[in-house]
Amino acid sequence: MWAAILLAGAIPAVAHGQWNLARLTPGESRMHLTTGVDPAIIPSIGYNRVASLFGRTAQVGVEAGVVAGEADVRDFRARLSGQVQLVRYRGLRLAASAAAITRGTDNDLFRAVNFGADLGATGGFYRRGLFLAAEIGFDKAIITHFAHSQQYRDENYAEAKDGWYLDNGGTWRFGVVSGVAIGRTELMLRAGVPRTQGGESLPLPAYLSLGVGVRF
Amino acid sequence: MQVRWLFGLGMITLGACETMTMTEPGNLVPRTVTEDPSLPAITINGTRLHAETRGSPGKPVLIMLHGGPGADYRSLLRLADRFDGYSLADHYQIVFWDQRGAGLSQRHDKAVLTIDQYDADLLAIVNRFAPGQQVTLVGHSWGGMYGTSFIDRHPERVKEAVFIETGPLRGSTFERIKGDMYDVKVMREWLNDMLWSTQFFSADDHIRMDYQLTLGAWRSQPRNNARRGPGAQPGWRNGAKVARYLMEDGQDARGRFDYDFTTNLRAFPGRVLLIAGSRSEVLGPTLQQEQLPLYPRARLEVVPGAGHDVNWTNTAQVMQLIRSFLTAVNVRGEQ
Repeated sequence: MWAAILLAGAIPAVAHGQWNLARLTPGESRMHLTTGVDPAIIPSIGYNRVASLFGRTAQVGVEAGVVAGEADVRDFRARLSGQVQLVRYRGLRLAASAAAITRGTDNDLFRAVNFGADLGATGGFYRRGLFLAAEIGFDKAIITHFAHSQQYRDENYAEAKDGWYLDNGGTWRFGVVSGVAIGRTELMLRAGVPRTQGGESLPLPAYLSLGVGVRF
Repeated sequence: MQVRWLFGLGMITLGACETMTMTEPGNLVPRTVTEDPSLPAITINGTRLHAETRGSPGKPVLIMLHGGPGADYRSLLRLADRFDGYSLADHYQIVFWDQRGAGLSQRHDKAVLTIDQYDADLLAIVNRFAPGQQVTLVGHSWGGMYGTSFIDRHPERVKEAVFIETGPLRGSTFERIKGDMYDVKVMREWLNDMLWSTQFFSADDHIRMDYQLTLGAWRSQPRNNARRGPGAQPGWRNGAKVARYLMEDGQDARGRFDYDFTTNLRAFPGRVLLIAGSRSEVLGPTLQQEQLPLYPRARLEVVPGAGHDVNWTNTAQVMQLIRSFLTAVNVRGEQ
């Protein structure tokens, strides 16, 4: 487990380019709330800090969410993320993002903890009042620990092996992200299509996320 | 520099951990007959099926049809046990088998997971164990649909049948009740857990698809009122590709179920016993009563207090009904 934590922690932190790049001012912070189906319903809260990195605008942030349903805190996601703006030409901007992710899930049959990494890019048209961009990303489930309940062993497979599993695949995402700003408040909408690492569709063939952020 | 040290330390520690892969057979779901040669198996129509028999060869043949589609015969094995001094194995050669791509049978891809292929497989089973003779069918849930489809196509090969909690025999019926079968309300814990599981591994191969289906779908049909927790109906493996593609084969281009397993059912002269659990809300007594007239000679028995898994939870009562049906000279109340 600690190996996975260390490995995940060594990955440069950056994340979803879901906020308006034209409004990133070094030294400012943002709190945000998001919810949506991604891939389950997962309300999240996060904090971002904008800084200057080698002359480029960048932001780092943390985010945590709990999967809806019975609001079981064992179904969670936490993300240490960041984003750096790579290209700017008039209103056009391109940013790259990355994140180290940990997430958990639990039901009567099994419990799992995963450490993963997310790499993405967002490019589009940005003004201070609104933006529209395309996004592409890949969320790699690097290593997962599975532990099976007695119920799984009784009803399904007595010899299921608990432990750490590598090479569990990942999820591609192809979508659009847009937002509007009113004063210090931003509203954001993301939508797109997810695909498994092998290109298969997921049980839910689309993702949709809504967010609100406040600068301070 | 610090990051490089952390990364190196992480890799060393990771190397010291014993890690596994999800795609290794036997790690997360049981091995199939192609991965474990010690499992009992037969080969028909180019596929290896997990199968075993109870009772002596030479006796009339009774073929078990498990549910799903994609599940297995593990929970049907109790029907071969002895109840009140009676065992089906005393009077029949019972054939238990996992259907193509299902349970511990060989896995297959979409091209050969069709209703026509399934019909050819069951015909091959019948010809293998009862060449030139009629057989008795016992099916549960999807197994009842499968058996009815077989009777519809080959009425001359079936003497009689027992169908327990049979699913909808017509696509139009399935379309009408599917909203009641699955609990797909957006805030349901099972649904969100199932969707969330896709973040931990991606179902890009058979094993991961099977594992995801098993973990995700187990509470998807609460109105079946099947037993939960200790003593619940067991199964070996859910064949996810079977569950997906066989269902799709019964749908039109728009994804609406349009199959009909009853077009020739009136030509079947044999007797049929339908069994339902009184607490099974969707596939239970109401649906079975509705489907009863589709068979020329059928009767319905309802087991009080039982759910969709009546064959597992109330095996003694079910066996009493089957025994009475198979040994009766005349069927009371047949239509």
